[in-house]
Amino acid sequence: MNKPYEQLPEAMITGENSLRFSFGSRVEKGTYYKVRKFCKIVEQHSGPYFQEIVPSFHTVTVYFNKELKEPNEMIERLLTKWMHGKEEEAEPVERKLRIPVCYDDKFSLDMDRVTSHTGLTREEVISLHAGHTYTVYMIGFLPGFPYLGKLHERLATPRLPTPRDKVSRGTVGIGGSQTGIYSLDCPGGWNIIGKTPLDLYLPERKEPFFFQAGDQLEFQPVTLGEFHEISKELASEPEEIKRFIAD
Amino acid sequence: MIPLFKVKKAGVYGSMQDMGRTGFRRFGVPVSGAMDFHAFQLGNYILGNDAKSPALELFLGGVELEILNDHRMVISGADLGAKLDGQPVPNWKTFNIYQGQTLSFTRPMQGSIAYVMPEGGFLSEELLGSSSVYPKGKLGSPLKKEMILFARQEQSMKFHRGLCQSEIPEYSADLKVKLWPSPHLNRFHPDSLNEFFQSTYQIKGGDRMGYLLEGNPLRFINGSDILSEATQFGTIQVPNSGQPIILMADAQTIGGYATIGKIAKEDLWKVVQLRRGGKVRFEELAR
Repeated sequence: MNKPYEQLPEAMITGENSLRFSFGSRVEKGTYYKVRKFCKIVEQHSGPYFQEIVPSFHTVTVYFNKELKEPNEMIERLLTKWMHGKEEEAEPVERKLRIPVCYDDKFSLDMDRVTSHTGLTREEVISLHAGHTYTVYMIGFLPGFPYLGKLHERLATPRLPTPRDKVSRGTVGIGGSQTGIYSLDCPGGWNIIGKTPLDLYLPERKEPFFFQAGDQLEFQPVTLGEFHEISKELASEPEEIKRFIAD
Repeated sequence: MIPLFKVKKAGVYGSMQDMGRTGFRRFGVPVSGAMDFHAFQLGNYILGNDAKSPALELFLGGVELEILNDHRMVISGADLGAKLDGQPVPNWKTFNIYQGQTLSFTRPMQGSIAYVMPEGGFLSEELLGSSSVYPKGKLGSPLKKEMILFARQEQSMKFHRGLCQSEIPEYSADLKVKLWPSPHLNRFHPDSLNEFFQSTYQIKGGDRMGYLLEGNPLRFINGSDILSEATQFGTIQVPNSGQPIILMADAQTIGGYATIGKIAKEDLWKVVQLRRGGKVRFEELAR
């Protein structure tokens, strides 16, 4: 069955080698499902010069190896495939990942800021943060850094007035109404509430990037002892990170 | 594998770069690669190298290299006042280097970025399919003192080659460049957009991540913050200060500020050669 016309994304030529398709302007699951499905269509139908896709909350940007001589024809082709695509063909697969997070005092440097801002106890913060499934909407800012939706609204806490010069990789934080995990050491202004022993990005690993857009994350609280155990195991067997993928 | 250079002084910023690393933008890894891809390509062309051979990219100068083996090489791109044992050497033309000599880059005379490459190319480790150094992503290291750079093979003693005069790029410090329009133009005040296309901006500083511009500030209807989405090499981002930033080869793959356009590829390599104080004006690309 054809999809109604108003669901067509807005298409734009943004450079010699790039097209942008926009599916609205809000962070919501419905928009994001369209983004995911459109990515699949692009991968299948954008021809020999297709290079790569960068999805975001609401857009799909397509890059090509060569300058497109007929960009409008490419747009027409992709939009037509979108209109006539069969639902089941484009059903995206979502992986479920279980991310161990240690909320121990040793790592949760800004827990006091979060509890005093939210009026929640430490236990409540942990159970709200861990008791929830997060969608990886996109990856960027740093290699492997996930943009996650959606933080429980009661956990929202303003960023630090002054960012730290260095936040270590694996750090889990809350920044405003967002939560995320730093994939590399870098400066950062989020409230630090824990740390995962998993390396989200390891260039020498077979799969350098642990996350991909569309992944469903669950944070599983672990003790400091378990944290060190997992760290040690992964340091000697980096590929074992696979066991945190639920299916 | 021939040891070719030993770094005596690392200078402002030097790094191995090739055509870039594609396929990983969706994971947050920028393409990187030679900033002035035109000079990069010409350099490899002069030497008869594989077009993808990596080159040493140098910003502004301050670099000193000890020659470890006899070889033949070329310098393309900016004129950074290159000297071999104190004697000036030309750009765009092959020349011989001999063990024990010192190749130095003193200061920028024209442009800001030069490429150094030996005949046959450098031998350089590939990470995620490219030799382009991107230190922030733990992909290679910029030039450091005592680092050794290797040539892929010995020189083959072919004829000297150079570029004919008419093909040598000129790096103007006053440019007018074409822009692909951005999807965020409705975020800007219409008057402010008109002013933008009539104003001249000056380069305030920059690196492989971005060049900061200074001039007539842009005004927004409702702030610059947008839902983050893809950006690319040449995208002009405008944060809330209203002062534009040109995103360069190592810039992050997505951005959360409104953009005003993307610099046309034919102009981008000229823009990367601007130094602090260089001037640039923009016009909309006619299609």
